[in-house]
Order: sequence, then structure tokens, then C-alpha cells
Amino acid sequence: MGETLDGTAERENGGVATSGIRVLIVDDHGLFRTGLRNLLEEQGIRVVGEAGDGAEALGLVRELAPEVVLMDLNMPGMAGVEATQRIAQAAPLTRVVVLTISDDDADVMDAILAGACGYLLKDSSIHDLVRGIQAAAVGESLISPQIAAKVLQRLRAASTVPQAAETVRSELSARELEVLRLIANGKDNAEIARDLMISPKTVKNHISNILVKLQIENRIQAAVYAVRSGLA
Amino acid sequence: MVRVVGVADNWKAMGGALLDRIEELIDAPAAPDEVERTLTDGYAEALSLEAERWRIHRRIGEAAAQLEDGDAERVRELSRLARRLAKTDGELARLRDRLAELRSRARDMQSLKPARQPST
Repeated sequence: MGETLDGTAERENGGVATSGIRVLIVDDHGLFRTGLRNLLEEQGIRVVGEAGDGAEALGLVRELAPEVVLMDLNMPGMAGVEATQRIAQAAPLTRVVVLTISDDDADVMDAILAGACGYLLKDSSIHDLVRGIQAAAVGESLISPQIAAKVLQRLRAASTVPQAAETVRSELSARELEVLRLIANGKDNAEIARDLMISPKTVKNHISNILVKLQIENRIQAAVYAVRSGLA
Repeated sequence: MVRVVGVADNWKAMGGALLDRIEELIDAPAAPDEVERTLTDGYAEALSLEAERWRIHRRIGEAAAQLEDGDAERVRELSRLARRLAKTDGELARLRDRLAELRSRARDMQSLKPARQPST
């Protein structure tokens, strides 16, 4: 832990420094925003702005270019899913992590398909919140474990899409298929690297290639693709 | 130096009323909007308590680092902080427990309703 030049505390949390991660909080509940801001700032995360609805969030994303947006779903005016979709289009480098009280399957799927790279419940511990923000900031994803299990279960229950299976097998190399299968089984980059006995950097390169080849935005969508194609 | 003030002192007033509201909704679930608002109020309060815990931890670390033989005042401060930490931990655990119960009740009520129509 140390002090940065702008006076914010720099901390290591799960091996990744939190200092300097620029976050925008979007939630219509003022007290929740304030509590979250205070807590994140205690962890050394820079909260660069707050918005009370999706439209305000969109404006602040353009103005402040945060690295991570923490997005509530149920808000008056422009709700979280539409805002997520618009942010993904307008600012592809900004990662949206949904932070909501809803564990409804449909809300989870809507958010993921809109481009959210993480889905956390508001009862998550501060440790999980910080991990989710850190993961998003480096282009990875974190879903609350109870949510991830539900999503994969639901996807597995749905029938396989033959076209997706064909695309996956014709576009990806054997190694990329292995990486995709492990992503769909909920492994993070470090675990994939261990399982395949390759470096985390190589894992990251494989994932970048997978996203480009399948024309998808993040690893959650990759997991969805893998399950739909019968790979996992 | 980290000042440790605020949340615990307000807990009796704010947290007490909030816990009462949560208990009422557990006993007699109301409209989903009201349950959601109360859950979010509760999660906001939980965040404040977590921030309080974090500040107390930091202060304990600072005070322990400055501790010297015979420093009775520092020892008293550490003792005070330890009691405060235990109290905040208890309040946080109780709040999270009641929120989980309310959430579970709300989910049960939700499952009795017709499935959501796909959005167009």
C-alpha cells in the first residue's frame, strides 16, 4: 500500500492495484451511491462521477471517459440495459459492470447481451465488488457465483445452435477451442494458464483472438457462445 | 490520521428504523418497488458499515504501530477501537442476515407470479 501523487491511497487487492481505476457509479438511489463511493474511495478506487439514470450516465461517459461503469438496472427514465447497450456502442473501451438487486435470469441475459462485462449483486462483499471492478478494468469479467451458475444452467437447458457450433469449430484453432471451453466452465485467466501450462499473457492473446474471430465483445459473451455451440 | 466517527453513532437511529422496516416487510411483503427500495436502503447502510470497519481497521493498524511501553492512552484507544469493531461487525452481520431473509421472501413472492413476458 502507498500514496499516489494525487493523495489517493494505492492498495493491492487480490494482486491487482486499485489505484487509478476510474469508475462512474450509476444508480437512482442517492444513499447507495454515496455509500458505494465512500467505500470504493477507501479502497483507493477513483470515483470520477455519479449518475442517477441511464441518460445522465451516457453524457458522463462521453465527458469523463471512465474505465468502468457500475450500472444499476432498474432506474427511472433510461434503464440500465439500454444505457449499457448505448455505452458499449459509444465508448467501447469503457467496461460496464451491472450492480443490481435482481438475480432474475432474464435481467442477467439482457445485461450480458447488451454488452455488460460483469454482473454483481448489491449484497456482494466489498472484496467481490473490488474484484469485479479490477477484472473489468483489465478486460476480464466477474459474475456473482450464484448468478453464473444460473446462467450456465439456463443456457445448457436450451438447445444447441448448429450454426454457432460450425462457426466455432471452423474459425478457432484447437488451442483457442480449449481456452473457450475453459472460459465457459468459469475459469479465470490464471486458472486457464495453469490448466493448459501456458502463460497468462498467452491466454490473454488467445482470448483476444477468440473475441475477434467470433465478433463478440467480452468473455461472458464467449461463454454464452461456447455453451450455445455445445462446446461446454 | 484516520478519524473514526459517524456510522456506528447513527446506527441506533438509522439502522434501527431500517431494521424495523425490513422486519415489517419480511412479515408482510409489500409491493415489489417498496421491497426493492428497502433492500437498496439496506445495502447502502451495509456499505456504510463496511466503510466504518475499514476505517477502524486502519486506525487500529496506525495505533498499534505507534504503541510504546507504558503508553496507557494508546492501549485504551486500541481497546476502544476493538470494541467498536466488534460492535460494527455485529451490526453488519445482523443487517446482512435480515436483508438476505427479506430477499428470500421477495423471491418466494416473485415465483408465485406469472413469468415475465420477453421484451420486444
